[in-house]
Amino acid sequence: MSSKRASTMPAPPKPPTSLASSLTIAEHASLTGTHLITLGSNTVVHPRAKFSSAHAPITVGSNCIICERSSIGFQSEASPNERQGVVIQNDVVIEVGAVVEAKTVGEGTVIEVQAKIGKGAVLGKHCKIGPQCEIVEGETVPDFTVVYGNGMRRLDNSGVEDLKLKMVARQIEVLKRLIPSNPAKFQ
Amino acid sequence: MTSFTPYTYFLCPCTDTSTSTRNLGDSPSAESEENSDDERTFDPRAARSNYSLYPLEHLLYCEDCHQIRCPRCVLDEIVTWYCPNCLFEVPSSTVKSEGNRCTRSCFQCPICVAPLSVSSLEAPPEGLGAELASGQNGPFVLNCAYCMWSSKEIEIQFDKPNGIFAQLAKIKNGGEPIITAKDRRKDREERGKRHFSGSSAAEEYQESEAPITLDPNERLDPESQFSNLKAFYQTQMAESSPVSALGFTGDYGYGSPGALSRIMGLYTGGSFADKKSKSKSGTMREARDALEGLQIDPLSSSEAITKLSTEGWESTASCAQRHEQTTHTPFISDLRPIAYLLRTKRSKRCKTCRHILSKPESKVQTTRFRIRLVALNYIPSIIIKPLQPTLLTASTLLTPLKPVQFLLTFKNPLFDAVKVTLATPAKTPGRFPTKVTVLCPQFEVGANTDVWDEALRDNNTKSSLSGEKRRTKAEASEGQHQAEAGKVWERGRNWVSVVVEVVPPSLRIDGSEWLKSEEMKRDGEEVRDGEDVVEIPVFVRVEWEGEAGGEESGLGGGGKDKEVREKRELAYWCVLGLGKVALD
Amino acid sequence: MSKKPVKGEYIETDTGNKVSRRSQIIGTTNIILGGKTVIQAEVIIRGDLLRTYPASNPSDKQGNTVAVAIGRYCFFSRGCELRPPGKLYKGQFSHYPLKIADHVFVGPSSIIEAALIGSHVNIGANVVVGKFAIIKDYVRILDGSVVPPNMVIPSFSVVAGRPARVVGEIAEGELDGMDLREVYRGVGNA
Repeated sequence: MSSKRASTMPAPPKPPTSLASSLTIAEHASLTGTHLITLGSNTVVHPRAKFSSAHAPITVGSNCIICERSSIGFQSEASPNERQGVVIQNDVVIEVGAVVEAKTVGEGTVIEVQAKIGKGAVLGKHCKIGPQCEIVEGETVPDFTVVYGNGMRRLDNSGVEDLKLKMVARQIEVLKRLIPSNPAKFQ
Repeated sequence: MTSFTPYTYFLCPCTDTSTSTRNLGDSPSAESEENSDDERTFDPRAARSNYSLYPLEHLLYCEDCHQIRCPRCVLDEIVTWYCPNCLFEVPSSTVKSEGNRCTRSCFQCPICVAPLSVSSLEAPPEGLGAELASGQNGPFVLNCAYCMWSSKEIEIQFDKPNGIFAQLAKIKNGGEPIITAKDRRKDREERGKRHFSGSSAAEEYQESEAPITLDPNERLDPESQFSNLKAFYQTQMAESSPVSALGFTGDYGYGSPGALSRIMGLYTGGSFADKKSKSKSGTMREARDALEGLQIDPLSSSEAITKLSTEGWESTASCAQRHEQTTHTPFISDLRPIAYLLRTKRSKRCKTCRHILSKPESKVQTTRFRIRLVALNYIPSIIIKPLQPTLLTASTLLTPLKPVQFLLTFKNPLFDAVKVTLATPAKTPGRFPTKVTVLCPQFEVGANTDVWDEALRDNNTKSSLSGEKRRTKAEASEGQHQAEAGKVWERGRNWVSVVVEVVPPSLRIDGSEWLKSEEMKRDGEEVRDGEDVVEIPVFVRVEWEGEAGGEESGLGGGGKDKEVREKRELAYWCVLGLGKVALD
Repeated sequence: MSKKPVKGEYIETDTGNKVSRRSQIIGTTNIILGGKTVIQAEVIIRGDLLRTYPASNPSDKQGNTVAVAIGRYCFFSRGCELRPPGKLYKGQFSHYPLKIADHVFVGPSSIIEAALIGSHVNIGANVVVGKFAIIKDYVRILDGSVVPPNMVIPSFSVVAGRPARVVGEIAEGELDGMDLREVYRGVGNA
């Protein structure tokens, strides 16, 4: 909820973090929990993005964009084969209000606005989970899958992954200039 | 499921001619007729009711007939055609010649119907049509930013970023060119020439332009097949009946005198046909090859089966996807981008008197209306509110067999005071009847005033509102059951609130046998969809003295002297949706 | 509901905007409010996502500092978000301004990344309006719709679904009801 309310309360213990030096993380992002949170190089974390490592660690690769109100991390106890927590590979874009409890999010995947990735799900590379779409707990989504509409699926054969990666890189360049970074707050 | 917003629907009188408005003095005989009709209660759950109930906002009002008009009793006239995507106006002549789709670059995704945008393969697909201006080099593709489909998947690419419609018309799925209708016609003409005047004409033709030789066994796309068939049968008909030859140059030729007489002959079976049969020179034959539009494709079904077995269910198009296509497309790979269907701006006329009820400005970008006679400005609106707001919020259900009171607020849009009479059945029709009592069935609602009065009121909004509040509070504290029969609950400048008391039914069907009505026994044991909603039919009669209609006052202005005001009456059924009943 | 905290929920500006103390507005200097607009709690407005293309000199950077422009009598319900859309153009990524005209209602938890929203537009709850959508005047978007990127919605449309499509027309009698002046008056610290 409101950050003002949070700030008046005694600050919760900071989770252990491993932040890359080229990371851009907004001051109003929130990192909570007890397990390690790793954020890779060139990744951009928008204000009001939430990472919660209360139940398992979180690892985010390089060149990722994590938008506001998205929530990354398990929201309940991890099972033995989920000990590694949430692993987000490189070049992943997580849009506004998405909830990600996936075990793995493959390289170049885009999780659209308000999409929900169930606990322990495995997303392949270059997938696109459309706005408000849901992936159930423990599901495995193959590479290049596009989930759209009311859970419709198809494989993307357009073969323009490289262009998309280029676009993410350009977007990161711009966001780095626009979003003031304050990694010190989280270390 | 649990949330419920009260609603009011109005029954357009066009479904029931007996309840039409009339000047009281004019037709006294109709009075008795109406009385007999009043006996019958309108059932909001009847199968036909669905089609005649509208929210007040959807109704128009004819000032000449003095009657409510619904979408079913108005005539639509198209004012403007336009593309909903590029918002360009399309002249109606173009619509006639080119069809009702956008012929620029506006397409919908064949997979998900989201809009497609043109982008260069050089740039990432998210780029919008902005690439158009950038002068980027092709090839270009259409792609969908929602489901990531790209025209590359059906191997269609474009050389230019604009005029996609024309470019697409020349490319088959898979990238092969489509032989245009024009080229086909040329080919036909050439064959015709060869047929009539030997080889010389053909040679001459060859010198000027290399002809396209068409394969008689080629696989035709549906459009070409149609045009081939059409051309073939037109020539056949022209040859077989020279009389009608004149008519068959362009279109179907129904307009020509020859064709007309032939059609006449078909129906009369008389002299026309006889005359015709004499003049017939030869018999018609059927199409023989692809050039004439015949497609013998014994392989197609086995091909489809092979494709199905190798590529599986994933490769087939869904019903919804096929529905959007103009031709038969069993597989995803057959789907083509869908050119946007044009939309229209329409004016509306009264079906009875043909007067215009609504006329929008013709320009696509303007949202103004020249004429807009909406029922909202002529008949009182009804707003439903529970009397005890604390007890009933939108999500609470009505308790069976426990009386609840609702406030009905009637707001008068007219500049004359109106007398409102309400009538409800004591029990609503249906398997689970609700008991209804309107505590004050007859009342007067004050006249509406000018807009600027309302503006003035705004300054005092707060004080007047609090005043009203205080009044209700005071009343509430005075007595517990203050809703008195025959008395208006609350009154404002141009509005009146009255109380209606309902006793919601019990939805229990397994009650003791003697409680069950005949209908219950017959209709089975389940509560069907919508039966838990308390819907109350109310017959509303509005009477007022208004200014006489424009024409009448103009004509009889001298004769009638001051008698320019006349009595008006409007009567109609409404349905009040009050709430849902809890299952007990 | 904790809609009314003790201090007074809304800050009222000189031009009559009522902005919740609990809204989360970022980059306020790049946001224009036309007046008499209501912004409820937990609304995010990303004024910081400025246009960066064409790349300007530091000197004339003042020229394009509007990221979100909002007209009069708009209403942004609890938890919705306004976000300027971004795209790649001539190989350069840039955000572009989000422009909203008058009498625009946005329902709770809706995310708006449109390029342009006309007047008298009613957007329901939990709606996602994709990047660079253009919504013309007198449009109603029903709850839970997902308007795909780049969609143009012409005037007098009722839109619903995922992806959204036009499912109906606004009737002539509905136009007056899309005025938000009454709604604005109903909001206060009372």
